[in-house]
Amino acid sequence: MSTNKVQKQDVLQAVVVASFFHKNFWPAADGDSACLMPLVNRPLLHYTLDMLESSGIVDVVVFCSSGSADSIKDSVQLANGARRLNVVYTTSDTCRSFGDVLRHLDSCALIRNDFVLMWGNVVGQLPLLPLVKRFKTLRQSGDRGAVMTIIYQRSGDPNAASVGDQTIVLAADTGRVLFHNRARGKISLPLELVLNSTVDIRRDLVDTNVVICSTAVPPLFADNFDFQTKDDFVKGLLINEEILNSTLYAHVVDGDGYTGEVFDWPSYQRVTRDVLHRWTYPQVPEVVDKYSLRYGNVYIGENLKLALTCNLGNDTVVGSDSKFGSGTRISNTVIGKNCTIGNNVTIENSYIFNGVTVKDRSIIRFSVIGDNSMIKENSLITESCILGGEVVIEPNTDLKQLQILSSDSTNKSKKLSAKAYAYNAEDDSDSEDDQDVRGLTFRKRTWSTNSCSSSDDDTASVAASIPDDTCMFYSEVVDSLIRGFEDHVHCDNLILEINSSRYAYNINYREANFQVIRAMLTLNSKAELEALNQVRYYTQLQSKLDYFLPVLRNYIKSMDSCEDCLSAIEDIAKGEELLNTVIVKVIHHLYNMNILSEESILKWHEKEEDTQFAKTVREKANKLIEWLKDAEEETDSDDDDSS
Amino acid sequence: MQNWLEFQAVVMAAGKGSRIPEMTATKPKCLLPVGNKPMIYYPLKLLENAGFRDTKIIVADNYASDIQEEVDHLGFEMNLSFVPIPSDEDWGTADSLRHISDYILTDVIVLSCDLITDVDLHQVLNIYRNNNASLVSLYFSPSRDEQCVFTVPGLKSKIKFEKDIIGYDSKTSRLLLMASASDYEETMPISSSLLNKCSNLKLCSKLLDSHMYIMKRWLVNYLVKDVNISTLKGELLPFVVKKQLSKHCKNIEPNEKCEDEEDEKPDIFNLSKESDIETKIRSMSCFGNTTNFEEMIKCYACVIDSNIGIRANTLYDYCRVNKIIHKLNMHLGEEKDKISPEAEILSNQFDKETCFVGPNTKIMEKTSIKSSTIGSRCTINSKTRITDCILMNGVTIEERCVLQNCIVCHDAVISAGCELKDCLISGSFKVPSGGKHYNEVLTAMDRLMEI
Repeated sequence: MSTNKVQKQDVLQAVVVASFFHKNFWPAADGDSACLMPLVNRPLLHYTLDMLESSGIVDVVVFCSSGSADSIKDSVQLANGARRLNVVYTTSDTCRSFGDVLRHLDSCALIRNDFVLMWGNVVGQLPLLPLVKRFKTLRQSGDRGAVMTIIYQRSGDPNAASVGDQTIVLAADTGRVLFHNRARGKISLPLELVLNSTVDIRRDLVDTNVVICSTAVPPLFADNFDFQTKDDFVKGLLINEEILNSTLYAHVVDGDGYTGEVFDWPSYQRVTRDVLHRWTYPQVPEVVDKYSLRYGNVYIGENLKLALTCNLGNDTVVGSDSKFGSGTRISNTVIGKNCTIGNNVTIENSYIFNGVTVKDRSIIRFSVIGDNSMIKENSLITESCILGGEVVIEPNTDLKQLQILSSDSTNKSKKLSAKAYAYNAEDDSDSEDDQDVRGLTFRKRTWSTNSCSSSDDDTASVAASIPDDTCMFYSEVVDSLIRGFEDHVHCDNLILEINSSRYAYNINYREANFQVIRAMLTLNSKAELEALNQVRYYTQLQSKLDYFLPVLRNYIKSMDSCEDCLSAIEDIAKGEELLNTVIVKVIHHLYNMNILSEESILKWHEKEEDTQFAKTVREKANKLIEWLKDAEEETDSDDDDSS
Repeated sequence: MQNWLEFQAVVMAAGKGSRIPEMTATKPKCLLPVGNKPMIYYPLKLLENAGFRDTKIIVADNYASDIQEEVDHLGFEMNLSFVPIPSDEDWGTADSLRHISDYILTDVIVLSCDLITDVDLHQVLNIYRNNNASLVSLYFSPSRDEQCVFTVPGLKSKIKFEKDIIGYDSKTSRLLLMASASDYEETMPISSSLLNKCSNLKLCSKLLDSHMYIMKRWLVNYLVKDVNISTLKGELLPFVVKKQLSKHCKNIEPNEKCEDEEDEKPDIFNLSKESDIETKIRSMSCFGNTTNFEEMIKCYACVIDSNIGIRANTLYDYCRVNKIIHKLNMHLGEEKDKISPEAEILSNQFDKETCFVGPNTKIMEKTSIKSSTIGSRCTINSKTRITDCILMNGVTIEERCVLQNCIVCHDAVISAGCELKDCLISGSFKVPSGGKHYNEVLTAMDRLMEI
């Protein structure tokens, strides 16, 4: 009995979270059972369990939401790797995030030792035991506060769009995580970090979502109930390092393994490609399932009925019991089991799940077709269409960038046919504003050289290059103005507010003029702008300018300030098409309101500029200038008459 | 005449040694002894070992003859030419380089006279050649093993390290960031163009800048055009490193415009253009990587951590290098050079392993000398104990003195019965007899004032 207990102490556990708290794969798979979604005709979760099994872990705790528990249990029974695993299931209905899962684990007291924590969406091959061992020695000898080793994968292509969405700063000698930033832009490092040790600033790392945790992690989540995601955890720990007395370390997988995480469609594409290109060996189709490998990474299942004239291109998987008609061309595509593809069908770069029927002469590109769907004749499905299960597409349908369900459940869908409802993402503004669900990447990446991308930074409008204080001042002014306009704050108070920010950020008078005008012209958000047409945009802008008239009066008084105002208008117009179209109207309006003086406009117009944009703007203003000159003469003559 | 040289070497030896005014008041920094040789011996030897045959040495005009005389005695085989620059004007290293720009026909390697290292110069040159770099700068990792713990002679003061922050690509060691910690307050912003350029940036604040630079000829041209730059490290390097990140006009049309507008500020990219023949060579060659060939400015850092590298420009480093110099595996010459045969050593307790003695020095009997460097023309009288000291040329030490961890500058006299510990005695100073001093700088005040 006691020896048994001792053994239990040493057992290394792995926790697999098999419930994604996002709807990235909807409608092809919903959030609860997305880990059973097929990747190269095999449920995602199987890859994860196989990876654990092959790295020598025996005890696995699978967390799933109670709704999908049964289907996950059934599926795990079938997995190859799971046979040698000792799988324990734990379910909860109340968990809504990753943080909740860890709090649940804490309350269940399932964790007895250091453990490996991962999502059920990790595909790959990674020797975990040495990493766990290293983590343990680190805790015993080096840093007792180490609570987590985060495993990152170095990305092969540092320019890929999917990479570099995070900036991580590691201590060069220990691999300790010192700084973490999700944004892609510039970062501000505390100087202390740099002076204390040599640091590596890494942008070439991709999350694998595999972490090695000490037993202190679940209680940390329990204590800090605002930790929802792993990022929250990392951020919270880095900020409150002294208080929580916990440190994070990173391990970069580079050459000693492969891991890929499937969290949205682009990553699904990427990992599928890597599986087909055999990075995940031995987890490749012909090893884990009954496929035969042909030249060009073509994997062919059993019992196929292929017409003589059908053409299978590179990187293609065809599941067993499928039938292909003659003249059908398929490339870069994964086709599930029991699919029936008619004659003269073209399928490229797509993912067809099990039991799908595609009728003659249809074309499918860059799309996902859910289980048991039917595409009827002459349909064209392109550019990242995601079809759920059981959808029936009528003949001669042309679909682009749509998410399609088989039944109308949300009332927000557009009916295409009896069993196809297009989900309209634009109307669904109330629930998922923040979640940006990405479809398949279907555009060819344009090759941009480094020098080009850096040049963008240099020449982008003033906003990018102005010093920080000015930036801050500008954003504060924008905030003040937006609030002022919405809540009808009196303009005098606004002026007071702007002035105090001006002093706070030490902005000189002319700079302030410039920035206030810029702010005033950019009050509309991007989304609003898109909805507006030219006329409505102008009327809105006009009403805003009228409202802020006292503010304008306060700032634009002298000749110099008029000049600032005009250059601000020009600067904004450079970046914004809508304003560009009405720039002359805006200037005219400001003139009518007696903000801009005649001379200043004329002076602005006469100023020699050499950029193309400045020239066109001045050309546009020619009419106004003529009119102004005429008016000037008139007033002159009027004066003459009166005198 | 066609010049087939690949590099020309320039040694900057006009530095005033402003960080060690006690020692450099009457003697140029480059002649301060390190081991049994003046400091400037080491960079020159480095060049000679690497096969250089010609070297230009920039010296301050008031010391030019002194330096020339002393360097001539060192017996170099390569041709040394001395270029005096006015000592009363505050010339920086870039000014000096601009001064001799007419003589520079090829790529240039610039060394500082206080660089003491056993690094193989070819290692650095190869980085330059491999990458077709515009500029290579040599850095040393801080020495970890030998934590020299010793007291610096003179007044107790906190050793202040200048913290330079260097950022380079971990893989390619491309140098992408040069900054000084004092430029920032609490946070250090890192621009997105830098991060886009390099996805694995290593930031170091503890590297020692050797002040050795290898640069392309066009950088000298640029120096000639832009007269505002006066130092290499402080101004030219950060500028060039930064310029790597910014875009340059590729087509000719905007170039012409640039020339019209910016008459006072020359466009660095115009100068860095490769010649037609180079472009053709590159396009026809199947060697080399083509990934970043379109970039014109490429700076690289050569970070070396196995070798010894010291810049003896502070009192601390100067003492340190003197303490470890006999351990270094450098060509210090024959054993007879270490302890000159012309020296008369009558001492009974003299540690041959750890001492250097210059010619015409006389060490009387009943003296004990350990771990010390003694210059030429010194006289050490009997009943004297000297440990861990540096005695420069012409020092006289009278009877019954005890010197421990002291630096005695040239022609100083320590009168009888003195007991000095951790002291710095400046040139030609006479310490009165019987004095006991600890942690002091002994100098004639007025001389120090004029600095």
